[in-house]
Amino acid sequence: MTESAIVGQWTAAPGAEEIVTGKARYCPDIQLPGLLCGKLLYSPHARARIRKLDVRKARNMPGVFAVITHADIPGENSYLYAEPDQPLLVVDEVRFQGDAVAAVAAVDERTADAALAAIEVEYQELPGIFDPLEAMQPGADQVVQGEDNVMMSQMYRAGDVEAAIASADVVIENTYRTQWAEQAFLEMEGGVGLVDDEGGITVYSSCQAPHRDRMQIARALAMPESMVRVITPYIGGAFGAKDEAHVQIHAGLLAHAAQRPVHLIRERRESMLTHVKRHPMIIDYTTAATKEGKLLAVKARVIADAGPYTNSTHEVLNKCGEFIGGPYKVENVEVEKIGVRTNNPITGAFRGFGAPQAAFVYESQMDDLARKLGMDPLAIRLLNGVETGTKMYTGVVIREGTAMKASLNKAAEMIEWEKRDQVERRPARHLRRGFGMATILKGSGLGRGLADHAGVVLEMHRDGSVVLQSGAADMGQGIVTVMAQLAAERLGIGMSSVRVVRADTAKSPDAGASCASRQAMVSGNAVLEAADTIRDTLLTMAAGKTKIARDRLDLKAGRLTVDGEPHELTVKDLALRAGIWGYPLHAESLVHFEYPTDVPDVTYRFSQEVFQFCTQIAQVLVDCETGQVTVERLIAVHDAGKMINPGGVYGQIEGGIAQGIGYALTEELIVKEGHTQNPSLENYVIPMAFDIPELEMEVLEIPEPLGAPLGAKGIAESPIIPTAPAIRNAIYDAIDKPLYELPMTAERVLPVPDAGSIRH
Amino acid sequence: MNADRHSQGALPDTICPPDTIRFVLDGELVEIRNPDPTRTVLQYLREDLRKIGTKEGCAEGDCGACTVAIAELDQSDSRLRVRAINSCIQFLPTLDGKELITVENLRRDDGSLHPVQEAMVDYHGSQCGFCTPGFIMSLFALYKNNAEPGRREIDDALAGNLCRCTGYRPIIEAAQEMYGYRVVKDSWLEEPFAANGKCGADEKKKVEVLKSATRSAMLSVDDGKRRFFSPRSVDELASLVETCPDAVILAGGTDVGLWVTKQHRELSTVVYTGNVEQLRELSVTKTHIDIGAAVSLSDAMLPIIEHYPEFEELFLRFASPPIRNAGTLGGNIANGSPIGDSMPALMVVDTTLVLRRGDQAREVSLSDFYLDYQKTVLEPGEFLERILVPLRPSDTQVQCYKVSKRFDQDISAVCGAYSLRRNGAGITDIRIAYGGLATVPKRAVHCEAALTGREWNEDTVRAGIEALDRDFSPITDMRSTAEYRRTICGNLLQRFYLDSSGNASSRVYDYGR
Ligand SMILES: Cc1cc2nc3c(=O)[nH]c(=O)nc-3n(C[C@H](O)[C@H](O)[C@H](O)COP(=O)(O)OP(=O)(O)OC[C@H]3O[C@@H](n4cnc5c(N)ncnc54)[C@H](O)[C@@H]3O)c2cc1C
Ligand code: FES
Ligand code: FES
Repeated sequence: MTESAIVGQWTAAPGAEEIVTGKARYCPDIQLPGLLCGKLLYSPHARARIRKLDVRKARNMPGVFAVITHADIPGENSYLYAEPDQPLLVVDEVRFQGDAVAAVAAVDERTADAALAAIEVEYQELPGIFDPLEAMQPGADQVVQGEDNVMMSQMYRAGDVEAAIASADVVIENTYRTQWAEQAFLEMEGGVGLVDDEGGITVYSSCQAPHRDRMQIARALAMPESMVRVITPYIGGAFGAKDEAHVQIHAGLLAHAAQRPVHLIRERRESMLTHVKRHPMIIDYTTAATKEGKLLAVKARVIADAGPYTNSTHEVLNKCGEFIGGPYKVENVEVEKIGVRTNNPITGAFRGFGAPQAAFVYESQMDDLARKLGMDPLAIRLLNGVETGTKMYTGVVIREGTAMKASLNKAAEMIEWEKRDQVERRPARHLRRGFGMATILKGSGLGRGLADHAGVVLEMHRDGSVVLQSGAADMGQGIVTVMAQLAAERLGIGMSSVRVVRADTAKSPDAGASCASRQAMVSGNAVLEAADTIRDTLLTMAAGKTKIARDRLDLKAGRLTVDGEPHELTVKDLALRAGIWGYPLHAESLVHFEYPTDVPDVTYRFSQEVFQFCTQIAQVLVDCETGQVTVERLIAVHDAGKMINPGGVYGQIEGGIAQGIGYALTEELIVKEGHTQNPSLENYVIPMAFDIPELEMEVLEIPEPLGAPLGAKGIAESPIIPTAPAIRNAIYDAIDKPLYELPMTAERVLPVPDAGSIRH
Repeated sequence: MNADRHSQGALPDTICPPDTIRFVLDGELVEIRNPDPTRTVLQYLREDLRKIGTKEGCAEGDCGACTVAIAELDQSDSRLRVRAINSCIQFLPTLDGKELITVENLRRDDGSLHPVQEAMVDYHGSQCGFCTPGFIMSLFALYKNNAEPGRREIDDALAGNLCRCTGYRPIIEAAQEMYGYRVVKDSWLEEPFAANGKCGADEKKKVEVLKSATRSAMLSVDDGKRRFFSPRSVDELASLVETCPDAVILAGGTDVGLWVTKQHRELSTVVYTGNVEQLRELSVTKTHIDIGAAVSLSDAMLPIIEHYPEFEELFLRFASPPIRNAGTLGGNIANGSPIGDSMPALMVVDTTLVLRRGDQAREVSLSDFYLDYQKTVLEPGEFLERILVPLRPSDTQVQCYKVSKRFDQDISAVCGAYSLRRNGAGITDIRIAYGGLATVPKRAVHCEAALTGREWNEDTVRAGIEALDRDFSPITDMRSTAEYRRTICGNLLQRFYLDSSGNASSRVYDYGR
């Protein structure tokens, strides 16, 4: 395709008008006659045995339509993401503060609250296990009786790390700690369950994976999946936390039990106590290098506090280990990944999936190394950076790696890195200014060996309008816009002629989860394939009608074109004729993301092969008297491959950086003995408008060669990843004090060395 | 609440029963007889009217998803004034006599978009969109109150709204560009703010409707379980509070609202001060800024900042515009939270409170008002009537520093305030007060004593910092650690010393952006 009318243009989301007028319906907005209010009874304890659970009083209350416990679940009493070890409703032992023990559906909220209060639960509190390092010790009390607290322990080795370390000129060893981070999407988790005419269950779900939700709801209800339907309304953000199921399963169970529609929406406090958080990690990291700064070896031991259940701990640690060496050429790598059960919050997906923790560590190490060697942070990164053709320690060969160094150089140019010492470093008595950079890579797609597919159904009607059905959930990241753009572009019609049906398992084929920055690639390809089928039909028909050679024809701006010039026939005309002459303008496609077979020795499991590279440079001010850090400038250079919707790409970058600033400086769930101290947006502090500097962004459009639609690739995750280490390195530069723990709060920044205090 | 309680078409004031609240919504006067007094405006909109445009993201004033606009008569009774508030913590009867404007009201009759909405679409202001209706209403309030906001004013206008998707830049851009769109002529909703703007026909009409909904007698609502009184005069208020000493006094409700939405407390009797004429008065006399206890923080902060520009940053960082629009200075003081932000500053400038019980009034220094955690000298049946902030003596240096994790809308870890009078180098009078360090905001009396009479120099400050240890033993909580608080209270005193002797300023705004 030559120049694009739609792809590559700033394009408003198809639902933008509904959103700004307040018409867009999210789960809490769904109204149905007779809708009941559902609620869950959560554990007040981090660990306790249930001695007695009596719901009879609650059941007998007027206005209460259903009260269920584990005993009332017709099918499997578990979530199923990876392992079926997290109960929907606890049987005998609560293992974290977010475990639920019963669910009610009542005529209104007050009655539901009263019913919850009427449930008699007798807990025997048990001493919890809260320190992952203690939990790992042999003989430690077990979080799940009979199961090792170490739920996962994997060692990956490439090359000979010990020999490389022994031969190195410099070795840098540090221990890093990261925090529990909360996704803080604005719309709390919710579901609306109802019984359909055939006795099946329909659930509106605020989720990232409607088809996986359907499977989970069906197995809990012991119903065939064909009797369960999951519909996604508008979704108010997710950032990973809605990849795993939450209350939509309970909404289905309650609707089934009450035989009435049930609304089940978490309150903010419940939301913050229950869903998966970003794993806190303790990472011991050793970097070995020559005196010229060439990396020789990386050795890491990653211990993740997983909470009591498996959730996506294996997957997150897998990605953490895959990227723990950074975007650098290093052959000798040893990474040990350990996931430990505790009675702390459950943990799982959050934008970046293990990569932000890894990047905080490897990019901090890079600056520590540069300092030790007296090298420039830019130079040492350029010296070690990967390129196209580099073989990673995982065995993966980078097919397109230009952006690694290009993004570094571009970012350095934008901030005038070479001249940073000419900038005032002490703009006021109490202020210190510093500059820091971080550069990262992150894969798109689920990874080699995993089922990474997506289907769409596309239909053009007689008036030339198109309906596109896809199972890809749009939580705000904009996949609906991208799919509509691709379809419109290929069919030569306007955006307003494409209607995307939001994911509905009764209509849309499975597209897998909206995670891993994958949908633009996978569902994007599926749309192109389906659109091409319809386009082929239209052009073949047009060639027959006009007697002009097929290869001179195209569709553009609603018309047939001949050698690029508009013809009198419109797409509408063709669509009408197709309808009359019996050409089906209907296409379905199912695309599997194909991993290349020409890389025989990929030894790292589930490794990704399409990479997002980016570099960010932060300029910060540190207040030596209060320890507070202000991000003054932030340069971000990202490779997005070909941009389909630049507005969407920039939106992902800006939003990711805002989350990155929060992750770096203020965001932290404070958990004491398994109890979260700050489950509110008052006390879990995410950035506001003032906290985000004017971002200086540049997007490199280096086309992705590996099976991406029009050269596009994912962008959703990478923006959050380099922000924290860039800020860390800038703080180091400003006050000459390296930090090894997130978030970098004022408490940790103080005392500032050489701050000129008059006290003592 | 039953639909039949709503009737449309106004009753003249004379026959408007005292148990019926009246407000304008969707251009109509709505009347509700004996509503549940602690039902929130958000519940009313979403659950009773099923208007789902306004969202709930927290139900405690933190996120702004529930932001709506309130239009009311201004002081002259001839113009409208519009303010954004958080509907999730605003009780329904407080709407009496006002107009409620929600995101659904902005779209034009022909279906096209209001400039604020159009700008949000054009500049990609939404991703997931859940925060958008709230942002639209905050931007709408900005549009109606400011003609050419700079980045700082825009940041402030958005300081009550969280967005987790966009990183805010597109929304800020929409705020800058929203003034450039075509507007419908003669529509009050669409006319952007103009400094000398005339009162158009549409606004006149709205003013008349609101005037017709103004009541002269007390509103008293009783839904069978809970009662709500809205007296019109301070005498009415005094006798109500005296006769029901257990009633909860409600001002802006930005603390009280959370008792209901978060702590699920039952409030059986509520006395609302928001319509008490005298308590809404704000004046500057020869000696004082005289602030009625029901004056909103947004209004009260203006003369304070005018006389004490050093307090500007404190008030701009105090909660968010929607909270400051509803919340009052009186409520902040009466609530007496240990981290209440206004008190340290008002203490060091020697603020006096006028307390009233029945027809007796007494004056108490703010520094003596607090006894212990959430305990004040207020007697049963007594209430706060006025706040008297002395005008600034010419030779006094004052300063206030708020330290919190986030610049905007965040609870202080420590808030320190200072006032200093010197005779040459000698300290003749120094007042120091802190929030966040004890069970109440309080003066640092040991520190003050250690400093008074000495020379204002490094040694003295060092002695003062040491004395602070005798004034405070801070604790660790989720906002900060004891150690940090201890360090900071000394560092801030040092900062005041350095600022006051070098004429420097260490406020965040001055270097932030
Ligand atoms: C999101 C959010 C952010 C906030 N941020 C801040 C902040 O940054 N700094 C800060 O200090 N506070 C903050 N607050 C707290 C609150 O906004 C302030 O304390 C506010 O000033 C309270 O005023 P109000 O009129 O809303 O009080 P109300 O909630 O109406 O009343 C508060 C208390 O005062 C009593 N009271 C009110 N008027 C009188 C009277 N005349 N006589 C006797 N008693 C009376 C009430 O009975 C009640 O006990 C925040 C609150 C929220 C929800
Ligand atoms: S719902 Fe969050 S501020 Fe009202
Ligand atoms: S657009 Fe999602 S929270 Fe703002």
